Amino acid sequence: MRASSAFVRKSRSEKQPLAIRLAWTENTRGAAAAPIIGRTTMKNPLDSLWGTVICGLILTLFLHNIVRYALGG
Amino acid sequence: MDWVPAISRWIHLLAGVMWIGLLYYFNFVNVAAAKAAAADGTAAGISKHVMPRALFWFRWAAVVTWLAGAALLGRHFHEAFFFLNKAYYPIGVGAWFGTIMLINVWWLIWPNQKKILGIIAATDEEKNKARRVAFLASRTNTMFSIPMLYFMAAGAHTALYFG
Repeated sequence: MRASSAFVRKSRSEKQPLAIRLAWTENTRGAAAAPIIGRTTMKNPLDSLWGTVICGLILTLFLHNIVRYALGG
Repeated sequence: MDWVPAISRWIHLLAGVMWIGLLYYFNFVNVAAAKAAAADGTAAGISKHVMPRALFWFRWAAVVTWLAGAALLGRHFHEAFFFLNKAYYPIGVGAWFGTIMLINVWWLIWPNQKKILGIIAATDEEKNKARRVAFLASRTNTMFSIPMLYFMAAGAHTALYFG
């Protein structure tokens, strides 16, 4: 019997482009999380000058709050 | 006038400006300049004439900054470094950042730059790896410099920064 095209099982590569499957692999630790479409790798923020500066500012804010708490402020 | 802390503070500031100034030159100017120079075939001038001189002042300014900072803390050095006294918490955080940055300069940036600049022999593969390590160490120091400078300033003005 000839299977209808609606019931033909597609391979993974047909269902999802490689980029999406790579993102799935890298961004999940199991089956629960959804794939992040359009991302193939996690970018290191230090590769970008602005990423570096923003990380430094966030770190400053984080430590400021810890020190303020430690000083009883 | 107490000469030791006064002179130490002055030297700490002078050397610190040179250290962090050169760090910012590498990250804000040289990375993009070297890329553009490589594209039009003029990178050799930067690696031969600029980088060795800049790295000389950079790494020794780091040492002088740290030593002058340690002299400035004087008998309170351990209180700051080990957070034994609340008054020294902010400068302690700054001092730890400065120390990690100094270690980065001497253990990661300079040894890898020696391979990149051909001061010591390295294969192309080793040079490529050295480029990445030196770049990330330099960017890490740039990131750390932001809280480091904040806490250095806060150390002398605790009430202003922490209320």
